[in-house]
Amino acid sequence: MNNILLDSTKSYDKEGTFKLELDKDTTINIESDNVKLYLVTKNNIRVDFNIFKKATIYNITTENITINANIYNNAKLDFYLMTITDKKITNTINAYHESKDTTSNLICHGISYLKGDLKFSVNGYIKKGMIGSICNQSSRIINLDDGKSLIEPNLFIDEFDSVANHSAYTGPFDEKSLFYLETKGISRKEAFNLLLSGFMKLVDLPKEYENILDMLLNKVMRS
Amino acid sequence: MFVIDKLNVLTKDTSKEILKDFSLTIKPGEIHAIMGPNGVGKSTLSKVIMHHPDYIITNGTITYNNKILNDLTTDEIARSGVYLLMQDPSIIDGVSNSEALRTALKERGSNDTNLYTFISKMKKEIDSLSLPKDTMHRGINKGLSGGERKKNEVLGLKLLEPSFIILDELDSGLDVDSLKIVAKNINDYLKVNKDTSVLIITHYSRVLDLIKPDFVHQMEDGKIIKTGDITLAKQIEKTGYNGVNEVESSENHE
Repeated sequence: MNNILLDSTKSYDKEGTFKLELDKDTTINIESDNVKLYLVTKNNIRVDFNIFKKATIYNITTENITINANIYNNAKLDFYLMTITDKKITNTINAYHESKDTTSNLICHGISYLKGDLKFSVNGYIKKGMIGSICNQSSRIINLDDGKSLIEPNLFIDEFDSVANHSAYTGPFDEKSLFYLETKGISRKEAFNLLLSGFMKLVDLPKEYENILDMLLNKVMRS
Repeated sequence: MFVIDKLNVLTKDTSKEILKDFSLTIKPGEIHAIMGPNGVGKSTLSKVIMHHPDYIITNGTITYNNKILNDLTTDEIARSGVYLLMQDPSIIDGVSNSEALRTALKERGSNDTNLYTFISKMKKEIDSLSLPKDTMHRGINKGLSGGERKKNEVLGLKLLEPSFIILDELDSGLDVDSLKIVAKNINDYLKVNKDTSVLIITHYSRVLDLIKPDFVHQMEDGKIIKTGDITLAKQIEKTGYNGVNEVESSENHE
């Protein structure tokens, strides 16, 4: 995994796995298949992606962020957002299907804790003529302590021959899951922490990147 | 010894009385079956034993090995040796089977939490239950069929080694072959752990042909109304719950 110092525009024309810490508005072009980007974003920034090939992007944040993903040339974007916050913030994710047969899968998980007020605004755009495009969204926010949250899932679909799905949930952890783990002899505290960790680690993450998430999770785990 | 003494239970949200002066004693090594039609409180009983938050015990006690379970939390009850094999096990994405079971063993202070020992044992039991190879690393019950979810519960049973097992509708969702595999695994466990007691909750007698009970109880309206052996289960299977009572009533009349 590489740490790369950025100017405001960066292009990837070779496959690989990259870690970036972004603290200013940035444009990123994905020009090769199988690029995996592990982002940590700060400072309420905007990141514009131009996706020409198959890419997987992960983003950990505790602050406002706006992501604009322009998807071209049969490309496919898998985007995973992991937000943990005790602030009033909005994460806006826009997926623009700019060519036919493009795919976006937007998976956004968040935890709003203490006085947190987390909003996900997740928007998929399929214009007329972008036939065969697929736009999927799955968003979930768990509220802890006095945390509040809101999810606005929007699908702006002008093309009849396309597929779009969304699901959204905000609220506490499911009591049924907690009870299930407790019946195995796991204390409520440990059960809660297992669910919390499982909820945020959506997929297997590289160790170094997982450590960043763990540091944030430690703030909300029950001790 | 597992003893339920004159237990009265209400649902928390509607205050409906579910169990009424329910009593049952199960000695070490005994297998008891409770049969009854839908809605008489059979599955509720299993949840009440595990201190499910939806129910309130208004009177009576549940005691296991001289420890009163009423005041214990669900995890404390489980750690005292009670294992509930759920009728409809939860699906929990993100928490793997191995992670959950290893945590459960750690919380019991078990010696089996050494990674190599744990994985070897888990692999062996996964094979013995004919579960998919990747069950260990999957989210709990994720992508498993109804029958495989039941098998996964038996996997937990074999790793956590309880001394009192509650089988809540074990046969629901299991095909004939899977039921045989599950029953064989439970019987093998009971052969090795002779003092382990079992409470089987079921509608049908077919599971009792595979895990043979010492006692069969018929439940109605929140309490046990009749106790017998396997012949009671066969009679119920033949004549239905109402039929059994009608025969009994006619015999008494004569």
